[in-house]
Amino acid sequence: MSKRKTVTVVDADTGNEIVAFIRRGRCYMYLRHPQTKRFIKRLKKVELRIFKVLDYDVKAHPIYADFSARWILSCNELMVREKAERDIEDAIDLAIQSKFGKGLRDLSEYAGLEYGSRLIGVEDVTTFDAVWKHRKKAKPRKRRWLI
Amino acid sequence: MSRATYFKVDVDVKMSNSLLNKWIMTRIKILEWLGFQLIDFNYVETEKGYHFWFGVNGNFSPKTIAETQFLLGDDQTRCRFNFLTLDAKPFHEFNCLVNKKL
Repeated sequence: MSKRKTVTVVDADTGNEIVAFIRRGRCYMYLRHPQTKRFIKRLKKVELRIFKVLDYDVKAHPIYADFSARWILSCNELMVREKAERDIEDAIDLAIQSKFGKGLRDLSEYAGLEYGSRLIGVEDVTTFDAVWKHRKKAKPRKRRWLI
Repeated sequence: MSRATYFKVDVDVKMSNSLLNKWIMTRIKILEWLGFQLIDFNYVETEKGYHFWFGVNGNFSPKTIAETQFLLGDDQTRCRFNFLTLDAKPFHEFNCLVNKKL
């Protein structure tokens, strides 16, 4: 008899648990309270998000950039989440390389990944966002002593 | 029925049970003083400290979320980046509590 496998991850949107399991050949995914273990609602899909950070702090051209990629996973895909996590790492690298070049891809570092029960974007297979800006050092304000 | 809005707070300090209890109770008082109605609360212990989720009734703008998280004692580096991403479009995408470091 095969051992029953249950996958539990923390929901980054609400702090509850996302639990996935297979019973009688069907895959079920629920949002569960972490302390009481009560099921809150059944989930059809969850979102896997990965974040990369570029902090290029040289004197002449400092630049800071955040990259995030989001995938929508079904219950069966969450059961083999290690594969999805490996694949999304490759996907974000490919997206950064195609949009910003190989140089920025190599300079950026992985910040981490999270699972969310609330789907942020449109129900697309892959979405990619980037926020970036040139860093400016703020000039210190002149102090005025009001005595 | 409107969806709850969650304020995510990252604290990188380990606390004893009594201090943690005091910390949570003071956050609830802050939320009450600001006029929010708390409907859900969760926390997870991490390597460095804790991740907290405060669920309040209603939908709020990204600016309100970022400011309230700051007032609740969120990690200051995270707050700084949240305020920077306010100007850009995808605020919610980057208001993240990373569960698994790579």
